[in-house]
Amino acid sequence: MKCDKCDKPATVHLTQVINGKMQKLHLCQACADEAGVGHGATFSMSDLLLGQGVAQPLAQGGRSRSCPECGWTLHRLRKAGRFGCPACYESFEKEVTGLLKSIHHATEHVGRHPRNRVRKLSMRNRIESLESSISEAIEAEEYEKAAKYRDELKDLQKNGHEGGNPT
Amino acid sequence: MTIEELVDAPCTWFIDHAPSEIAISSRIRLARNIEGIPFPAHAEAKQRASIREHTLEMLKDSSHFEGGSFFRVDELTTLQKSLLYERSLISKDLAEESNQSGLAVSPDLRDVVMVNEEDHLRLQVVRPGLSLEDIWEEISAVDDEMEEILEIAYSDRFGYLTCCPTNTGTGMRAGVMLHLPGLVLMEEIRPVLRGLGKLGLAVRGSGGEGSDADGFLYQISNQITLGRSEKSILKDIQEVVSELVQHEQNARLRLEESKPAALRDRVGRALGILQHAWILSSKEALDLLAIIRLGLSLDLLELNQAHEVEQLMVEVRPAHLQKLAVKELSAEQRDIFRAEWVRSKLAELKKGRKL
Repeated sequence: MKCDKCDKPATVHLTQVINGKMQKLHLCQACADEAGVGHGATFSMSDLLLGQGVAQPLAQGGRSRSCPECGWTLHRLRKAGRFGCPACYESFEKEVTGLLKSIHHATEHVGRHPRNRVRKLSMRNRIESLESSISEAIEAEEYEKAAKYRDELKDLQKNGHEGGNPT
Repeated sequence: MTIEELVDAPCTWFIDHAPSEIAISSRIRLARNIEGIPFPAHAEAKQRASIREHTLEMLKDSSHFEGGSFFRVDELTTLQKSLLYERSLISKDLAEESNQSGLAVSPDLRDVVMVNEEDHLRLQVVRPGLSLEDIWEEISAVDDEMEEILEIAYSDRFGYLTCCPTNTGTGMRAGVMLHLPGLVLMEEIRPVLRGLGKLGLAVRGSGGEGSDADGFLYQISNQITLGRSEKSILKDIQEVVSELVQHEQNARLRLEESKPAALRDRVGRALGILQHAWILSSKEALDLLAIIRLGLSLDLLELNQAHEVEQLMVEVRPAHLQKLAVKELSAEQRDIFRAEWVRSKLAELKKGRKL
């Protein structure tokens, strides 16, 4: 298992329950020492997850950044581990990316999206969805369908855009 | 449907199967929020109230909820809220903190939308047995319908935007409730639970977060919501649960083979206590009924209408018990009434004992 902060092997494994939800964190010795954990002391999980970029301005008494949409501050995000409104994701994008990576080991959504809006799916999302359609079609022995998806995938990978009309 | 009719209706997802069934029920919930409005905890009371009224009004006309039941949860009594919680129609959080929150239940009681829980909307579908794929079809259709009317907060990069980052992406939590007395009694449950953790799956007691495994009931659910499609997450759970069901069947057979006397002793004592006890806590009753369920599945016991045991597992819970008593009871009174209720029910069900 790799360290959540750098890519060295993780040797310190932390579990903390925040608001009834369990969160796990895996760190290498250096990162754990830097964060001052691993000796049974209590620590702020979000602090660790969000990194020093977050802790520092607060420690220096600097003004905490806030979401222009709802006024939720980075400080509150750290403390509560919750967002104030949907726009917070954009307002704290850098921190959010780190946070999501620590929780899910991923930073980009794959899967269902709202049907009522025409959305340009990210390349990766589209490829992933085609790949899963192909394996589903093969599993269902619908080889014609699988071939169609495969062509679409090839097209997408070659041209960097969708072949036919979006479905 | 009034709240009384709703809580009187049979709890089908829990009782619609044989006592030998190991996968009791499956559930999927989707967290959704409305674009441009703060999440419920940060929103003003006025905003929450307007979301609730708007959403409930809209759901009344939707194909899934037309003819269903709609409630302002803060207008219900504490007992009614506890009943809804015991039937998994609302979460514990919503039962405790229900300001301007709402609830919509479909006519068949399978589809639920909670309004102003941690997120603006929480869709939930529960069905008996292991049926995640069917539930996914159903909940996707409900989600489609909601998305046609409401502007749902979504980002191409992060997916569905939720109040808590542990739900970001798909916003989906899918889980299966399993009855695992064989693995518990064979003392093999711990390594199994540890293994599940390594696979990125969470295990909880039957009551949801923070609850113990009363009645040997365990809930297995996904933790990851970002970076993997719903279908691939569901496929993983389905596979792991199928495997667990086999382990449990296997453990029950080995239990009978290796400790036949101990097993019969356990089942016989459970029946004895349930038939003769005068004070029963909710946990004790559930644990003992679970042993009866195990005895029935291994054909060690014979009861008329064995499915009544499943019904009893719902009835012994605190709020359901008070509804049966038709009055509020203190914890002490509840334990006495529970024992009385179980005694009389088991007397009706009594047939011979095989053992």
